[in-house]
Amino acid sequence: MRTQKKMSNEKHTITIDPVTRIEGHSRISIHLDSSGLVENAQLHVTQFRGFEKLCQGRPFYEMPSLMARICGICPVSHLITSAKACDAILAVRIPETAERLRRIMHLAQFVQSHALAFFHLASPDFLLGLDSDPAKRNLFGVAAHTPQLAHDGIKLRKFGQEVIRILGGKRIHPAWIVPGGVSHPLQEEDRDAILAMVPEAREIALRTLVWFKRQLENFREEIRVFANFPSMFMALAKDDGGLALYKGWIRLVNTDGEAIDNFEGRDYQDHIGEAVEPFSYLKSPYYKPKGYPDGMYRVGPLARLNMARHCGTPLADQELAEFRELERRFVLSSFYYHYARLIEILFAVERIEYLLNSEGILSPHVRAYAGPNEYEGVGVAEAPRGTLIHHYKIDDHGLIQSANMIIATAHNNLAMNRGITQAAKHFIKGRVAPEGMLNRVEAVIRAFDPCLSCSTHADGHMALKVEIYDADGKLVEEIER
Amino acid sequence: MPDILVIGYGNPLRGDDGVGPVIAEELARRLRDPESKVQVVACHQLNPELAEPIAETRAVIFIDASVDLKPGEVRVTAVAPDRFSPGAFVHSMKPSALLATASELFGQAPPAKSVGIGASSFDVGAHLTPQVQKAVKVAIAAVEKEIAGYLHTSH
Repeated sequence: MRTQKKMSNEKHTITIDPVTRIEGHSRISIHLDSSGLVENAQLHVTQFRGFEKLCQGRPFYEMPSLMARICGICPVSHLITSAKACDAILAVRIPETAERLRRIMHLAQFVQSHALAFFHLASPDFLLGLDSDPAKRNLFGVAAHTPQLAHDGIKLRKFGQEVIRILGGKRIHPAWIVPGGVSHPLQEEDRDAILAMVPEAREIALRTLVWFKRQLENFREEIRVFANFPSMFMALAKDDGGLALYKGWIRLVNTDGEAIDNFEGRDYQDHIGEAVEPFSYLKSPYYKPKGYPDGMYRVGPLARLNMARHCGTPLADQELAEFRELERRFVLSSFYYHYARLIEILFAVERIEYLLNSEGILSPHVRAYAGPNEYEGVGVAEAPRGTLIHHYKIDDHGLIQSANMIIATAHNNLAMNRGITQAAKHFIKGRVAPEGMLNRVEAVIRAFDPCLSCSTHADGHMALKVEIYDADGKLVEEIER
Repeated sequence: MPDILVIGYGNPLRGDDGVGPVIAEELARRLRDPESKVQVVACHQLNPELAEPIAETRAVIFIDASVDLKPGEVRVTAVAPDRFSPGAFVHSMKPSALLATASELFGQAPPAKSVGIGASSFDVGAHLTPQVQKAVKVAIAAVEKEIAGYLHTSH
């Protein structure tokens, strides 16, 4: 649904409400000046989060299974990051096999999450065009046009979900990952069952990459203005330059690829600040030394592939080399998030196969036991959308005193707002914007694939709020429905 | 594949939004018999890969919190495939869109019912409000009645 609202000071606001095909409840407002040119655009996230309070007073070892229930899209990311924070409280190094098993489940989640973003949310734009009939620009339109693409998306989703189910015993919110490792070792028949699914998943990833690369030529204009600007990038990084999803330093690099900062996850508060804007519940993290909002950076697949010198698997490394040629090493257009997502799917499938075949993967030693040895623990991992941080403090009884989480979607908040402003200025000329132009502004957000899945999903619960602010930041209109 | 698929969904950490999974988990406990013709799924939200098992069953029952009903009210409604239902293409899907996906991609959409439970609070928390807690029994009875009806007509 789309509405246009007139403001009293002769400025106009076009509201795209809600943003279709992204998770949760949100809207974009585009502010026009009196001559009809775009002044700025903002992404408003209206869902409420307050999970940190929910944690207080709970035993710390319950945190992984509790945190896994936050999100229906990336429960494994929360599970792993929470478990890593608990590992730090235990002050243990988990067994090597346990770490590999955690990695396998983590990679499986990358496959299913990226598949949802690419095939089900973004592919209608690529296949049918950004100006195509919005009633058909969806999964059904994809299925009617190219059934294999729609089926491939579901098959990749199923692959990821099945790996998680086989390892965790429960498809949603598995409690298999625990502080100190995993609760039980991998069985040979389960390993073989996963390995048997790998070839088809790899084939889908490869053919989708081939197809998507052919589409790029049709989106030159979008590539040029879809959140395409110099910025810092942040992701986990290994010393050898390999793609890091499970552990590593937190590294920030500039547009030239030079490392600006490199720090351990436990020191994140010295480097990352969290600003709050009146127009959104979603916080805006920023790099502290550069201040707010100059400390804007991007996270997620684009940041990770920009920073990685190699993925570490043969097919993904070939694709990464080609990806690097797009813009002479650092890729700045956020349109390429989609491309990076596909390469990461390929990497994840290859890496799962490698880890399942690695020596010792069936070892029974998969958990380190200890009581709490630290009052504080920070866990960091790369979630599909970017760096995820969990930080817990406990008391003498092991009960959570405070918890802080920075979700991946929040890291990109500043960049998403700047990105939609860039696209809106380019595509929207005047007060009446064609649907295809508004879809392009939405598509910028879809490129980042924000997830607000921690909101509610009740039937009929839209929880939409329209707020209009004047130039002084004063609320001049508020509509709830 | 089972004859009937029951899917309870919602966010278990958002108060009454979690009533769907609560009911699904209780039903799963009651239907532990491996010979059961009913499969129960508890999930956070509806995603497209559910379309395949839906297409392979004879009937599907969705269980979800609702803001369109009075808190604690339980209502059973028929759901038809609808490819244009609102919100169909965010990360989570509506039952009607999921049925349409089953039909379009896997050839058929079985008859479907939705058991809605009027919700009162979506505040962060892992507990249901007393009104909704009280409605759980009523909703389970409603689901079991639907299951019995489907099993009766399929034989």
